[in-house]
Amino acid sequence: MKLTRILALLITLVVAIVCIPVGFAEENPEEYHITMYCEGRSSPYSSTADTIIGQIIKEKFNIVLDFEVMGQDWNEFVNQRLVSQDFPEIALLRWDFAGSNWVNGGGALELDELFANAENIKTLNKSRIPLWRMDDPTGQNRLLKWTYAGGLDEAMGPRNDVMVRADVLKALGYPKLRTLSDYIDFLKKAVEMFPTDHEGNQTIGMCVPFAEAWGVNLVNIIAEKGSFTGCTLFPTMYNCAEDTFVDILEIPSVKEAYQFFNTLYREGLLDGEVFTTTCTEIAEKMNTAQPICVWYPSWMATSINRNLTANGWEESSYIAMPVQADSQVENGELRYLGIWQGNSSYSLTITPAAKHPERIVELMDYLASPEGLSLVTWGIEGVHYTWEDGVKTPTPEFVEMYKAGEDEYYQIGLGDFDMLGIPDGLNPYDGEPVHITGAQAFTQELYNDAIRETLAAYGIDLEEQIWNTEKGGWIESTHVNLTVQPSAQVFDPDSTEAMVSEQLLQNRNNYMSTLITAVDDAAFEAAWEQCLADHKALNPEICTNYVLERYAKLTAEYEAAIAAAE
Amino acid sequence: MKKNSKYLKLREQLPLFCMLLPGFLSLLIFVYWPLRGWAMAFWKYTPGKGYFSGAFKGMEYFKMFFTTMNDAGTVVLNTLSINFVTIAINLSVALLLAMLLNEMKNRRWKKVMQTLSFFPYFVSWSITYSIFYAFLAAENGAINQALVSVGLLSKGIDFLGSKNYAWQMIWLSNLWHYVGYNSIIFLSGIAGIDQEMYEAAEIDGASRIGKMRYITLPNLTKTLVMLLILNSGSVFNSSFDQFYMFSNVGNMTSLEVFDMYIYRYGMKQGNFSYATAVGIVKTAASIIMLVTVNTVAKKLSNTSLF
Amino acid sequence: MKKRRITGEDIFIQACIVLMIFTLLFTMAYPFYHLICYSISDPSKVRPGFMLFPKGLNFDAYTSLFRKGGLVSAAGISVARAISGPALMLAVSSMAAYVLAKRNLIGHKFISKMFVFTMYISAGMIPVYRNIYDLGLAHSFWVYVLPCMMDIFSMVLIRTYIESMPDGLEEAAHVDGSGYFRTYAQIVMPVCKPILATVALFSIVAQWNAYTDTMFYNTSDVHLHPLSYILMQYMKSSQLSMEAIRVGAGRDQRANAQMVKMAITVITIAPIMCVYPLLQKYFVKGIMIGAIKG
Repeated sequence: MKLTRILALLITLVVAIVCIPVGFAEENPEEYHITMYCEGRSSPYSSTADTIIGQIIKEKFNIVLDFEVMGQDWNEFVNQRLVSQDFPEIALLRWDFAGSNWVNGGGALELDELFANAENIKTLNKSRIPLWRMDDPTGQNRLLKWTYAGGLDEAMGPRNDVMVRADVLKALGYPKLRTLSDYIDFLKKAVEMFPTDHEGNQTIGMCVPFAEAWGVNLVNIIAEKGSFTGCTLFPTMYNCAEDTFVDILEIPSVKEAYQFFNTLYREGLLDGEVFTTTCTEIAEKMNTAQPICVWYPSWMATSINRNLTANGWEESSYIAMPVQADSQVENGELRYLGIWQGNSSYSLTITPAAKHPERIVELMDYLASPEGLSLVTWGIEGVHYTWEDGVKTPTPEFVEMYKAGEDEYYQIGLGDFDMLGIPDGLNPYDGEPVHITGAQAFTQELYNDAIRETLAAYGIDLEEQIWNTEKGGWIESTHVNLTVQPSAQVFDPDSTEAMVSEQLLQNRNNYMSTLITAVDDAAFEAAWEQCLADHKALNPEICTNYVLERYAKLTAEYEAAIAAAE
Repeated sequence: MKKNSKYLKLREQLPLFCMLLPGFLSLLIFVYWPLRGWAMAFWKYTPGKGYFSGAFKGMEYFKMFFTTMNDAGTVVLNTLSINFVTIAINLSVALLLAMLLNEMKNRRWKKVMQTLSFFPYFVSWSITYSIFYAFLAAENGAINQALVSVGLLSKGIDFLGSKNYAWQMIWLSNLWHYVGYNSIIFLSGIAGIDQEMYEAAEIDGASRIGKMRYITLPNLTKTLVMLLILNSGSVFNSSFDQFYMFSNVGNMTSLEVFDMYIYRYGMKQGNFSYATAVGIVKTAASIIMLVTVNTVAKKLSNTSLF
Repeated sequence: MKKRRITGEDIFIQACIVLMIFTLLFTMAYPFYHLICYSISDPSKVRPGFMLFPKGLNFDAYTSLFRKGGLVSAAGISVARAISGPALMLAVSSMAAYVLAKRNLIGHKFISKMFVFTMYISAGMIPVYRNIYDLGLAHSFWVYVLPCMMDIFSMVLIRTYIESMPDGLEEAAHVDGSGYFRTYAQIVMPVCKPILATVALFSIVAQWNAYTDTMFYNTSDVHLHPLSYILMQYMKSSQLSMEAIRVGAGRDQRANAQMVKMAITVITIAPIMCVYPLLQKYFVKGIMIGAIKG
């Protein structure tokens, strides 16, 4: 009986706790709090009200953004919200806006009226708005979304090639690494010269994060070092030089990449754990400079170099080196760096659940003005940056704050308003990079001595200049404007193309380890033939033809839209 | 006469039905009512619209699973191999553990061991994988390093990245995760056995192993059979988190199980109609398995779930 | 207590027990120790693989977590659901178990099947999700306790336990003139303490760790977020996000994501490992004897 009484008491207590309204925050009714769902957030401040830039915006517009990390897959989130019609005020959609159900499910408000007086938005996005209109799945060219971010462009150079240890480069006389064969010769010599790392572990020739979700694409990414782009989970890639789409397994450099990894494996130069390694494990190995080369995740270099310096091994810092397939070099293929005008990989809509859509647009219009754009991406003039000799330069204090990476830096609140339509690349109003972290001087500030020494030895100032023969590099590259290409590779979820695309992906997954661990040339060729045979049996032309047709249609539409606008 | 007695029986059992009501209603509302969503497998579903509003497709998606997609065979084989062996290993080892724990004389050590064995149940699959990685990675894993340094192996075995060991890794990780959980159920059963039986056996001169064989085990049979039946219905299910962590390019083909397949085509790709159809196939197979095992158990041991 | 001679059998059993202890220590205790070491190591010094001692000391993973606000009210919600959920579940499921243990119930076969099949039937994620919204349970505390109030697995375990009770117990109660509910509450349930404790433990743990229901239905209701949800968000936010890759060219994460995951695991497991030994005493004694004799 005592137990029953205790239980009854507990239950009453619990019900009491729950039913008493828990409203601690004194909320100003005019303050407009918008919850922004994001996939991750490095800043410890989850509300713009706590940041310097956010305070300025709050004083002007009385709007506060509260960031909520999305715990689930973004498409799970989107699908659930469609089913329950319980929309967030502003929705972030990835990738397949054009083919998605979001619009048909009622998740997007029409923006034409709302944007009627938003002159700044229209000016800033002149070339993008026609592309946004084309993403209306009903074909009525309504304006329903905007995008932010983008791929590579003129302000940001080529990235994610190969990271190589600076001291190994030095010991071997600063070779101008370029082709896959160059790397094989280089690694054979390197491993002999450097058999162990700083803690006595055996060095690894090359580490690759194949265990990541996008791991299978780390092989065909080689095509992007040439004239291809559009490396996604779809079975085609876009040839910039010839303006057409090609099935992945028909690109010659892709087979070369498989052979490259196979050779590395046979020579004992490939990480023994390569199929179970993610970026996390690679970072741990890089802490003692165990790998000589790392394929792809070059964004880790800054923090790894910082760790190495802290441990007293600065000379082993990692620097980005280029890579291309042998055939690409022989054919004189240029590397095409895409400027993504209407990248649909980050689309946003205002949903019917928005309480004050006109206030949101008012804020967006300010952010698209010269003053607003600069404020939320560079900060306050005189405090975070200054104009020196006509060049927008971060102040030394800011650089120190960034390097320290403590709360002080995050409290500035840079980047918090990006989702409301901040583009990438160059700021059209002043010709400088849109983001402060894109400034050339800034990148150079972040280099440590070992990197500077290495760059000087090669005769260049920045890693990306390797791809620019005019600045002292040894490889040529060029830029290309990408407009409707990303949208061409978008499939309807239950179409035949989607099912075939998924099966083709699975096929490439299945053969990956067989190809890479083949014991000799004969075994490799046999596996390759089988992979191709299975690939052809799944009718890949269904996907290729679909993409080509869609691309032709979208190009025609885009050209018509541009002509009409003039 | 008959009508009267039935009515009387009903009146007499009325309190029982009242006690059953909350549970019954709960099941109706939370499990049976949403089943109308199975219409998604027969009408093409668009998120945001009604279940019955799309185009009628009949058995098209079911046919697709067995013919054009050609995946049914692999998926069923992977799922069943992994799960049958998992059930066998888990239940037998948990039983052994429970009996051994019961034989321990030192109360403190017994408590510690029991608590320890339960620890993996709370660990998320993502951390479980990190722990397996620390032990079994091809180069840096403790086991491989030990074996290589002693000279038993020339090069580490890629347990986690090769299809040859994929199933074994799942069996092992399932055992690690559930052995404490299952052993508690058996321990609870042992705690309910009449002590008088043990005392009587002691007087008769039975050995410790004898007591285990003739008293403990038979009394646990009911629990064991019940657990077997319960698990048989889940033999087509898999923990999504676990497979997500353990699959990689090296072993994907062996780890393609029903629930991963359904998630891939459903939530990831957005083809809900197809995913629902495969889900219905899985449910049907589960129910058939459940009923079969239950009937066999009833005949052989007079214990059954329903 | 007679003193017995140590037999060969005793040695054998003792050896098995020792073997079991070593295996458990190696496979269960060491990994927990590894988690703790990793979570307090310096991110710039960790290496993949085995770890006997933490490499460098760095408590960032824990301190930055405790600096986050809202942990206290979140803990309150977690405690609330870890108490009310199991309480409700025990009441409903044990009543159902008691009723279904009576094979002479009208419609027993049908009802029993209907209950048990629900463990294996699921309408799928979308219909279940929509159902909760249709019932108006979204954006409320009740979504944490109502859908799981009838737990079939627990019900079956309790029912099995009741069925293995001797019939004498209930007959004795009926002779005394006790109705069904009284028999259930005052006689059968006290005897079922071991299994009820077991089942309650599983339920408490499940409620303590659950966060997907918050993620699906209550994201915008900050006052209803349990601790597990906050921890999950913290963990996700310390993983390298697309924004970081795109803009910062590798912003230094404060404590790296692996470390945060491990720290959260330690924080989540520690309270449970403390509560668990307290519930153990219910598993030990055979309570039945007293009831029959008395």
